Amino acid sequence: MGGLAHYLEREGLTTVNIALIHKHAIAQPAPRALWVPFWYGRPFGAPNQPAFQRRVLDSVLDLLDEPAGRVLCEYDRDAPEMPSPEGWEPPFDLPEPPNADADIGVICSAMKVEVAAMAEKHADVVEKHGWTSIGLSKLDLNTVAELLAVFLRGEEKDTAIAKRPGLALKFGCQEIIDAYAECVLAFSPDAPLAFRRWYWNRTAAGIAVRRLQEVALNSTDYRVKISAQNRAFVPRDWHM
Amino acid sequence: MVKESDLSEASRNSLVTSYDFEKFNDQPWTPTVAAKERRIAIVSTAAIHAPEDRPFGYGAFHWRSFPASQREFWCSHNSVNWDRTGLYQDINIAYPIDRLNEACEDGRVGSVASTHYAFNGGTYEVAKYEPYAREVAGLMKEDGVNTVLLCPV
Repeated sequence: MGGLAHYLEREGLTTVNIALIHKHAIAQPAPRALWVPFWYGRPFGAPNQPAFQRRVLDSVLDLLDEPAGRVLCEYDRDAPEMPSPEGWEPPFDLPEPPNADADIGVICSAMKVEVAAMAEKHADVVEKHGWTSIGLSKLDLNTVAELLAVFLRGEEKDTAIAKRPGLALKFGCQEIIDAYAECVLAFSPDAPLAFRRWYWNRTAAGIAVRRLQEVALNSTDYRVKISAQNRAFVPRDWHM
Repeated sequence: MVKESDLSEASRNSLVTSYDFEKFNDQPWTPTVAAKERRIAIVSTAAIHAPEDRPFGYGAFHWRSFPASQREFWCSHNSVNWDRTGLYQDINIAYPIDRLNEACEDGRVGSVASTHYAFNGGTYEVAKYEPYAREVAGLMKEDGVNTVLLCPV
C-alpha cells in the first residue's frame, strides 16, 4: 500500500492511507498513513457500524492537514466488541464431520454430502437477499465439491470439470466457505469468529480443504501447487 | 481472522520478510488542497471488482475500476489470511464509499470521484505495481481527482 501511495504521489496526487500491518507501514512508508488495530480485512473496523466507520474515515482525512511528512499515526480505539464464539452453534443441523485424519475417500464423501445440503440452504439465502458474493469459479457448488474431491484423490490430470481446473479450484474453495458464511451470517450476523472456528474444525468442507492444503503440495497442476506452497487455501490462523 | 496484536512476534516478522519492499531514493510529497477543493478517489487493494469483470489472477498487478454507484462486488484476492465476512455484510468496511459520500455532504471533502479503483494487494513485488499506478493516476486526473484514499485489507 505504501508503494502504491508513493507512485501516486510521484504523479502529483495527494494520498492518505489506512494501514493494517504496522511493520509494513514502517518498511514501506506512505506519505500519510493511519495504522488501525483492527482485524485484517476490516480497515474501517466493523460492518454496518456507520458511525464508527465515519470516525475512522475522519481520522485518516485529518492527516491531509499535516504540513509535512512522512506521517504515521495510530488509531487509539479498537473496533466494537464481537460476541465470544464459545457455545455458539450453527443455525442448522449438518451430519457430524469425519476426523481430520480419516481416509481421503471418507472425507470426500462426507464433504460432497454436506456441500449438497449447504447448496440448497445457500440457494434459499440468495433468493431471499437477491444477491451473492460467489460465482468466480463459474461452477455450481456441487461441481466445485466434485472438483475438490478430484484434487484430493490426486486425479486432477484427467479431469474435464473445468477448462482451467487449478484456477477453478482456487476460486471454488473460497466459494464454498463464502457460501457457508452467507448461510450462517444470514441468521447470525454477529458470529464471524464462531463461524470461522466452526467451518475449519467442524465441517467436512473445512476438513477437506485443510487436507487439500497438504495434498496439493504434490499436485500436477502448477497453479494449485503454487497456491499450496503459498498457503492460499487455508488461513495460517485457521485454528484460532 | 486476526488482528496484528493476535500474532506472535515471529508471525509479525514473517509479514515483512515475505515481501519484496521497494527501496525508494525519492520521497514524494504532494501538498494538499483546501478541503472544499478536494476531489477524492478510493483505491482498495481488496481485489474487488464488478461481478461481470475479469477476476484478478494469481500475482496480478493491474487494476479494475468501477463507478461510484457500484455496490455489488466479487473479490478475487489471492490471500485467505484476512476476514471476508465483513466485506460481504457491508462493503464500506473496506471500501468506504458511503462514508466518503457522507463526508462530502458534511463539507469535509469537496467532491467524490466518479470512478474508483482496486488492485490485488496479495502480491509481494511492490515495484511491479508502478506502471499500473501511473495509468490509474492518469485516469484519476482526467476525472479531476487530486486526493486518493488508499484502503488495504
